[in-house]
Amino acid sequence: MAKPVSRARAVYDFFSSMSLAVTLLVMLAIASVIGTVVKQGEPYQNYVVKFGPFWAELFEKIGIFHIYSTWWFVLVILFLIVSTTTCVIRHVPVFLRDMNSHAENLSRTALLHQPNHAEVACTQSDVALQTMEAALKQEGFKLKRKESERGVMIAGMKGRWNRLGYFLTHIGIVVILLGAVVDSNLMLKYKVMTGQAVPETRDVPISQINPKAVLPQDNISFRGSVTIPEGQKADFIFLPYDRGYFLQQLPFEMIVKKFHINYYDTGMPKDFITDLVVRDKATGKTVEHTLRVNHPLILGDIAIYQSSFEDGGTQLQLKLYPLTGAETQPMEMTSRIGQKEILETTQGKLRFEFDDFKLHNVVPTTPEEEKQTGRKMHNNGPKLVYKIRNEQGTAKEYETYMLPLKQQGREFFVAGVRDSVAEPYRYLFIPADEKRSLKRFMAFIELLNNDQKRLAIFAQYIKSDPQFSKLSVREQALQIQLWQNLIRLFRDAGFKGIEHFIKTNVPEDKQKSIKDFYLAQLTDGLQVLYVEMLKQQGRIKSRDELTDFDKTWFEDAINAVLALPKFGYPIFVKLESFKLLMATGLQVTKSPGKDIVYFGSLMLTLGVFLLFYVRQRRVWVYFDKSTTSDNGHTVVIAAKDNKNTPEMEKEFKRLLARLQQTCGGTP
Amino acid sequence: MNTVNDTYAEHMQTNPTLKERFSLFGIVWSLLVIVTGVAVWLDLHTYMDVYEKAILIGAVPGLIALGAFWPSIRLYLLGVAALTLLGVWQYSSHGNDVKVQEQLFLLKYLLSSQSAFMWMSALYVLATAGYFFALFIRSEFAGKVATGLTWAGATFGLTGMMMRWYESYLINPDYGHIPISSLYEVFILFSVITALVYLYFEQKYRTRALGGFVMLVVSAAVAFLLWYTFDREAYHIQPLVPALKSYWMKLHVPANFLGYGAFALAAMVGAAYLITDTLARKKPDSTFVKAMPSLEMMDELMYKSIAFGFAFFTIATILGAVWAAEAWGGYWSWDPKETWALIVWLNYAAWLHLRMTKGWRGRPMAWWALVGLLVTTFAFLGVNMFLSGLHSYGKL
Ligand code: HEM
Repeated sequence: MAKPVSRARAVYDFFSSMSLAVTLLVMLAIASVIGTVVKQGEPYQNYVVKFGPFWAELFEKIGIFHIYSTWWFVLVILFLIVSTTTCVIRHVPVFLRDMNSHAENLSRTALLHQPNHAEVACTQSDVALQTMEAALKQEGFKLKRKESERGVMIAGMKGRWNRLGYFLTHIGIVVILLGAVVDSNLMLKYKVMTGQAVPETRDVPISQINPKAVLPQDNISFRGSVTIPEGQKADFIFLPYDRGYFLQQLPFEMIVKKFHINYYDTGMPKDFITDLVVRDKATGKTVEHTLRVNHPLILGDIAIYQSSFEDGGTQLQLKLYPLTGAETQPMEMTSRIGQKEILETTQGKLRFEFDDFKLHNVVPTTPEEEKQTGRKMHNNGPKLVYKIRNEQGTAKEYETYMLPLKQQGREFFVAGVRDSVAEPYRYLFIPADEKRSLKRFMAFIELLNNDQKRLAIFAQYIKSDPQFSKLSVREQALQIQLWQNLIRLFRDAGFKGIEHFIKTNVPEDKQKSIKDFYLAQLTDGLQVLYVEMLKQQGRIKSRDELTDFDKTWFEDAINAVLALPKFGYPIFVKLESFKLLMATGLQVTKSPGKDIVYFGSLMLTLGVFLLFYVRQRRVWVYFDKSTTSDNGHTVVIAAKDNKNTPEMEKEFKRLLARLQQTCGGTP
Repeated sequence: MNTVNDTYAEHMQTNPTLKERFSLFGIVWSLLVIVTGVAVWLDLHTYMDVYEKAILIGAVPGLIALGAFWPSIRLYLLGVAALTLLGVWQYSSHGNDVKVQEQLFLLKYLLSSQSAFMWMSALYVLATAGYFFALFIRSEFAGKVATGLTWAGATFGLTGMMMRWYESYLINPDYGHIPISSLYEVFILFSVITALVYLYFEQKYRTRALGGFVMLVVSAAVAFLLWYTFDREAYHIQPLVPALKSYWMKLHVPANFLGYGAFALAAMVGAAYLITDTLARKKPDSTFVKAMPSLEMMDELMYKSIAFGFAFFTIATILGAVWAAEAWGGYWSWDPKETWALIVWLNYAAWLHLRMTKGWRGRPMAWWALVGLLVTTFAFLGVNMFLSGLHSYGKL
């Protein structure tokens, strides 16, 4: 039915309609809300864990995880550009006319329909008109006088720039959006759609990246990042794309000399700084720059930002202590962060993955410590994060501190373990000895694990102890056997092991008394071991020389032994020394649209102020010759404000009063 | 003209006359601003970077213009300056040791930032009660007292901020920063700005009856602040994370809070509108309805306030984009805080459109303004509490 012409008209009407504009704005707002509630751009697995496979798949399809770069979101923006543009075009003639016309041709009736109007009887209308003209001029109105045989019209206008405000705001918005489109990856999307570019999804060395995932350096806009270890360089960045990435080549090479972190006295980072050299590939010219957060390096149309940091392969010198073996000679290992080491153990091949190293680990202090030191923060010193993965591929994650940490006045080597990233760490606290080392604990553990060594100690002790040496040989042997068995039970399964043994081997009515007896014996046995061990080490000569430190150490050690079964793999990784190597995360952007966006923003700001704070006002004073009354003529005065503000009423009253005064009468 | 419009006109107050704008006091005040600007320049310019110098140079004509635009702010700022100088003098005459705030009477009970904030809180709460009291007993005098209390609260609030700025340098020169960088600090900024924007409108439109409603939001902010102070001990001055060390912050944050403050004000006027309108339908002659400004008046005030807020929120968002371009490498990253600012902005853009182009007025707009406060509050507070992103500076 519709003729082609009217169809075009319908399309035009549709695009310039307020309903479309508001619908688009609402869509934009809803999509934005979703985008802030669902974390964007995470690894797909995280979403599967969170939403389940079905929903994750569905959400992925409609682009919930990359909402701001989905085709429909981009479409909304494009529609908004079209809609706002047509809206502006539609209003241009109307508003231009409105800006330039004084509306001096309005009839008397039209004036009497204005929001503010009055009719004043006037004896001397010429004088009145002149006075009003002068008054309006003084108030800043631009006037137009039109005389005809019917009467004299004075039409005044003020604040015409208000209309300009409309154009500036709306064109400003279009300009901003256009600038954003220039900087978006729309071109890249198009290339991906047509198969000219294919993102790389594998984690492969640079040289093996699919050539279709490598973007030439003359790409019009990009925003990506790269991590460069100290002493190394890169002439590319990675642009994340869907589940993969592109490699964007750069026209220059970035050489990282050093990365530092400055700290406040609280241990909080104060600044992140990269000493950077940039070498232009074409000219070979180099620029040296100290890159800091909030202080980017601008090179033509490309900018380099300090954006993150990580370990760049810190060298590690480690000692691996077996916690269950009959020998506790540690194994030495040299490795790097980011490397994996395979170790043959009794539990099969274990893979050590050294994930991260942190030089400073600042944590809030406990209230007691704060009282003592007055500090709110406390630095726990270097920390190593690593995983141990078995042949089946399941891994436990560990973190271990290099230096002993203070807890209630005592020092412990602290290491945490967890089965997955979602869990909190469970910590093992190994008490440090008087030399702040692991030695005493490892020696003690060795005694607990080594039946032979333990036997030797007990045998010797029983012979030398005045109380036990009186017993018969058989009784002595029984005593030793009791200790040995109890300690073995205790080592393997803690107090629970002993309880379990009693439950299965002792008649019920005797269980309680036996339990008390066993626990007393166990304590005796462990104490004997401990004291004899210290004697062998030459630290004390007799039990009386045990200090308070030795006594609490013993209790802490027993607690540590009890915690051992929960530590996962019985290997304690001790960081002996390290050579720090950092890597800096640089973000590199090319956004030619930025200046367009800024220009549009300026227009928008100006426009908003014009719209809000410049009122377009009109005043008409009309002397109609045909309306003579008894005492002269009547003069019509009317006023209008395009915002219909209450101020207008007040101003009108003032003008009216003025007119009445000059007319010398009341209406 | 009908009676509604007459009361309406009565409520309308003119802008300051030229005489007020450029009175002798105004001239003296302007000179003082210039002298202070020059003195600060001479004293501190070696410590400032080019942008900070630009801000200082811009601040002088800015303050003079502000004084001409709103003459009452002159006395207010002088009061703040005097109290601040007194506080600074107390510190500097005792070796600039921040700990003297626990010993010196003036600091301990009045001028250290913490006690100034306590005074601010108390005065605001009293002002809220005062406004409502004045509304119910219809006492002009009580209303004036409430206005005075609000001015006093705002004075202590801004003084406290200035003192906190100074104290941050006393604790450790490394920590020194303008106190608008943590949730605690911006809440104070919010309560100062909202009160001031309200006082401006109150003076211009003679709307004392709305004071209680507006100060209710400010009191809510104060309640949050007190909880944050006593339960979370959030008042400790912490050094800045690297991303916040930017001169842009000095412009972006206050502009944002002019927006938030104005939106909050519009919402409360909306609430007052709805209550008055509902009562007026049931009992048009009730004393409450008579005591309140006319509905047209409140409608207009809502518009004025949202327009004012929108203008500054636009500037703030643009400044935020410029800052983001410098700190994060992109003017727009769809970071939650950024995105919510956009949502707030779109919300009020839609509000303004429907009013300007479709002529919507009255109840629906009042409801919308009120709901707008929820959106604004989420952008202001909820994002920090529930969503993570670049603005929480978790990564760097
Ligand atoms: C992101 C999109 C837009 C934004 C942020 C925006 C913003 C604004 C603002 C702030 C005003 C001033 C309101 C006032 O004076 O109080 C306004 C007015 C107006 N807008 Fe928009 N606008 C947008 C899109 C559109 C579109 C698509 C249309 C066309 C349908 C449109 C038509 C108008 C009209 C006709 C006015 C009234 C101008 C006047 O009477 O002075 N706007 N807009």
